[in-house]
Amino acid sequence: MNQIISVINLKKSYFAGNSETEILKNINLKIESGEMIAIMGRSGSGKTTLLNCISALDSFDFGKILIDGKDIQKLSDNKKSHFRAKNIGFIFQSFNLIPVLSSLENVLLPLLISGMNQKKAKSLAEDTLKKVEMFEKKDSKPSELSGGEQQRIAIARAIAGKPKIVFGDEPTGNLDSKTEDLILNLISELNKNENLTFVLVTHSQKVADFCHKIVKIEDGKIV
Amino acid sequence: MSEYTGGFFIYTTIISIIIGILFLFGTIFDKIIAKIGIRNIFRRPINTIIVVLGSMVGTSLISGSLAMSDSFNKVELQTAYKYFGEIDYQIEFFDSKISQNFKNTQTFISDEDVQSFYNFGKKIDLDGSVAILSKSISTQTESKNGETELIFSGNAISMDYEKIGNFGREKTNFNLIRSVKKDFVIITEHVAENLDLKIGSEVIIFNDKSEKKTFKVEKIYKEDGAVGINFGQTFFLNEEDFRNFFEIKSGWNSILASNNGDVLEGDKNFEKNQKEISSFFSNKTYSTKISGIKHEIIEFSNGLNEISYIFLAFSIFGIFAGILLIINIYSMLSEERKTELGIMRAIGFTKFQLLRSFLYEGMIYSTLASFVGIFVGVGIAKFSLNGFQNIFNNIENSTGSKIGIEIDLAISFKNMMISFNTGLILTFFVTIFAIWKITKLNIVEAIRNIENEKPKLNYLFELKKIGRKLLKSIKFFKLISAMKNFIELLVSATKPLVGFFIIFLGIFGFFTKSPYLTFTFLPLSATIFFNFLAKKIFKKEIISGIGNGISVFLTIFLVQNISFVKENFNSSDASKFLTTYFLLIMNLLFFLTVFVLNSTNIFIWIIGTFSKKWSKFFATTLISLKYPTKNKTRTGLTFLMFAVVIFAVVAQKIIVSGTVNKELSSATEIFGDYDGSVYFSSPKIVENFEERIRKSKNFSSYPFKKIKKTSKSYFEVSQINESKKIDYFDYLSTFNKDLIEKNLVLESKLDENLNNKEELEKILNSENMVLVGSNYSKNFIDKGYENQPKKRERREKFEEDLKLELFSLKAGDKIFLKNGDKHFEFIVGAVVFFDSKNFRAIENGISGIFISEEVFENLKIEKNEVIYQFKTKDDESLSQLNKNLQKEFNKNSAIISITSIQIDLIRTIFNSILEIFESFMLFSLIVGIAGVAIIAYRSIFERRQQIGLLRAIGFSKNLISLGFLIEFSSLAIFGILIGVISGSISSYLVISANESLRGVPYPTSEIVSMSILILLSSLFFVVFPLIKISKLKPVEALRYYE
Repeated sequence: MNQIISVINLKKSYFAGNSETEILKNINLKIESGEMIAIMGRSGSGKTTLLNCISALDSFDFGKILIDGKDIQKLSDNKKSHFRAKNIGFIFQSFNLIPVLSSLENVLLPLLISGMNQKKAKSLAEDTLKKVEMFEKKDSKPSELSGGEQQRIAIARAIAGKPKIVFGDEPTGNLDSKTEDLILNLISELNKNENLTFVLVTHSQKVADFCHKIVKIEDGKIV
Repeated sequence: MSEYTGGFFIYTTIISIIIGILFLFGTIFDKIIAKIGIRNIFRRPINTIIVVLGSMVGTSLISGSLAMSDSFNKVELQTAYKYFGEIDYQIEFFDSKISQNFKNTQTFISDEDVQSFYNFGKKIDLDGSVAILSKSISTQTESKNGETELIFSGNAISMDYEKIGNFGREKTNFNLIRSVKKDFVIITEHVAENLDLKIGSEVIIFNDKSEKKTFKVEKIYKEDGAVGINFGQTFFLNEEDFRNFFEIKSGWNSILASNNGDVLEGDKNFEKNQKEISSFFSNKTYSTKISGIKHEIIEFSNGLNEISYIFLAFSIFGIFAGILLIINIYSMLSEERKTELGIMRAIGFTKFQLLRSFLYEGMIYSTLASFVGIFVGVGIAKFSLNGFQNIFNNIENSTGSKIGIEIDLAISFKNMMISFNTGLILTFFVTIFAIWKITKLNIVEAIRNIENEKPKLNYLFELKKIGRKLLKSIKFFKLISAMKNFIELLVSATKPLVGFFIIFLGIFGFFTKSPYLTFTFLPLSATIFFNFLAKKIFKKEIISGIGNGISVFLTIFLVQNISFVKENFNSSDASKFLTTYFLLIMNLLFFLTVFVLNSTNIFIWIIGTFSKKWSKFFATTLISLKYPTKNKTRTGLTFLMFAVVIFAVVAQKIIVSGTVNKELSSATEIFGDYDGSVYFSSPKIVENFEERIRKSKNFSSYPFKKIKKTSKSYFEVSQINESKKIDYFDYLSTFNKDLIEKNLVLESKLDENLNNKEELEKILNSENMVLVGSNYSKNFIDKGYENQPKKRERREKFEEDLKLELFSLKAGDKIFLKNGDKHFEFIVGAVVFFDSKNFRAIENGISGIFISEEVFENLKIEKNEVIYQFKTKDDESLSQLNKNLQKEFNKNSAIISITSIQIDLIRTIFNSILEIFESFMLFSLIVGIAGVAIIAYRSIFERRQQIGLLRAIGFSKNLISLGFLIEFSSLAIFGILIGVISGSISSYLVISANESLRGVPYPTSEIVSMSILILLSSLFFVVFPLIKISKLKPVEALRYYE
């Protein structure tokens, strides 16, 4: 397995008024391709900030992040967008589907934005919906779906473009225990069958138990 | 306007005072809440500015319209006082039942009758009456170099000077002229200026028999008040001089009377006294014409005042846009402050305390906006009045004659208060409406800042809730809340029934041939039926779109093809036409708007098909077009905000501007190939026109290729025989066949074997035949009134009252003409009329009786008017010729008219008026545009997290900005398109209903350029929110915080 993510000496601070709070303190982390990693920690420990930095959503003050050998800090804002479209998928706690689009259109969106032609994108989105067993609901709007169904669509959106890494920020945080199991099984299956790398930020031990590796963060440091 | 605004002023003031007291109580007894509300004003200055902008629209448009009305009123008052002072009535006498103020037709009433009227006047509380003698005259003065060239026409007046002392409350005016000595004349400054006369100068006056007498100028006075009579063109003579000069032994031909009170100040006795005066003269042998002269001036000037009503009507569009803006911004403010509102609720604030904090905030915005609105409104009025002043100046420059109207800006305190109150009340209630949803705030969701989910209605639960509220409804707000819930429940429960009922009404209306029921409900039925199919059966939105399209076609079809709707639309009855036109506009605007809203998927499909290779663009467009459908009501209202304003501009451009331009372009049809004309009110003014021009130093060379002289004389006309009392006054005129030959048609000819030209030649060569204008033809009148039953009814009543028999002439009939002592008998050769599809004025028909120049000369009668039509040499500059003619004949009271210059002038006037209207409406549009900017800001705020998500999945900043640009452009573009399409369709339906309007060209370039301008200005305001988006970091957006 090759290394897909390398985090080297990562530091990041927030400024509130005149005081500086160091949120990430010299983080070093390596993630192999096909791994399923859980990042755990208390509220305010810096786990979501770490995820945002790795996924090229947020900038950092010091250090280096290499994704598939590419130094993301050096990319311009537009190139970062393009990089995310091609290589990264996201799953959020509150699903974050676009309410005015149908399930199929939500899944289509990242494919189109990565430059895929409409016909191919549509067929791929439909295949992915089949994979997450949501093809029947392809014309439904998010408001017509349950929480579990919405998260399946969100997963389909994250994986449709065959990204190298899928980041999840509390992916089961808004779901009941039964639906949580279903979603975790789905993520686990996708990890095995599609060899997708998953990086999940979570409070839940159940989520952590599904992962190959657990990274614990306390006060901005990996412990 | 004052009679209508009195009650409104009182009611609005009372409501405003109540609002003021509420605010005052609030700040005293509700201190904390009021403090929160007031402090919120300073949180976001840009929001405050926009709310004030939206709130001030009502006030500014209303105050603008009222200021214009006040300013026009001021002009009226000045004009009326300047020329009439305290004169309220002018009573003229005729020996016919028809009162036509033609020359040489006045009758003189006896001194006894005058005396008896003086006594009668005292009984009905007149403030004074004075009998006058009045005759039209021509004058000649001797210039410094001894030439006697200048001839001027005016009126000689003499009065029963003994009685002047009793006239009106302020006698000073008349005292100026009562001292006029024998062989002297008192003249106005206007006359003195025109004839270069000074005190002591000599002036030669010609009477109606062309006899002359020299008078000396005794006094020159300013034509102000009652002595300004006859618009200042007046020569006051001594009574003895007047009687000798005009050979009038006794009697008077007119009486001036002053009411005790002034019609300009709302004198209530005006109409009552007018009736009394009329009954006093009713049993006399002569007929009387009683003119309420100042009243008539005001009535006439009300035409100008009506313009301000039109402005007020157009204001509705602006006010509508302003209301939408207020609703949007409050919606945005409550959304922005959602978390803190949730927290306030959590720590113990009640719903109504939150509501009140917004209300106090809103009251300050409204008050501030109403103050600013008045200033802006006055500014708009000043701008528009300047436009009108420019129009008058243009006319003065072009015609060379002084109109003398100076429009000064004026606004009364009452109207200022009406504007202030209306603005305040309107925004106060709109604010309550806009912030009402705060009462429905879910505390937990508000704190978490999650969108409120609208729960499904459980009827039983809701009914119980309403019942509980009603039981507790001692508090005002709770009662309102309970009532609102009840109405919502009722609407929701009865929605399907309402749908069926509308369809029933549509079908019922159609079969019972009820135009309004059919036109209102039948197109709507199609939309409801297809909406049902779309939602319940096919589950496809596009089916609704098809329904909306069918509704649009049904609307057009009904107006064009279904007789009972068509009749209403083509009706000359203004109320029928306007109601149908209003419904047509509403139908088109509504159905086109919902069509666009329901057809989003078609637009997306079209864009998808054409952008196969640009997936990123397609993805961006997909979101941009889908978002506006999330809140269809808001999007629909935004479309309408643009559409209504643009609709008005388009309709105005096509119907008004297009029609005027079309008519003007067909000028050759009525003016032949003549370039212009010079009119003189008497042939004596210039005996030899051609010679005068040739000799004049004002012309470097003789400018004309061809000149044609047309003369007119006034006659009493009768059909039966010469001894019968006259039926009608009309003029006999020489016929210039060059002018109208092109579109001339002879109806009923004596010899049907001859063609028009041959018949015309025959009539004009005959000494005893005349052509009569189409106004004498029953056929023509029947045709003209075909679709105008009410007009026809009026005309028939007029003929019946006067027992006229002249309005059904045909070839072969005899007519008798009387001019002074001379009688003539003619045979009608043919009735003549124009046949033009272009020129609408022709519908009014041709009046007059025509003969050839030779026959006219042979009659040897006095000519009253002369017109010289001319065709200029090819290299002649018409504008220079106009100036030269003005210079040459200015002091002869000549009317110089050069067709192309006149047409340009009319076009300029119309365009100037249209420009004023458009700028007035553009103000509304600015508010509409600001509304779109608000929606842009609001959308960005509401969709912050989704922007974060899009950035996370790979959308670049530029693509997100492009998406918003597409979204807001499409709001503007669709709004503009709805306005343009509905404006064009309705205008062409109006045009096609009126034959003479057909063929009006479509003002494509004007409408396209206007649409582009509006689109670009809308997008300009969207630039700022777009910059905000580009600064938004994905991680911050996702975090959801402010």
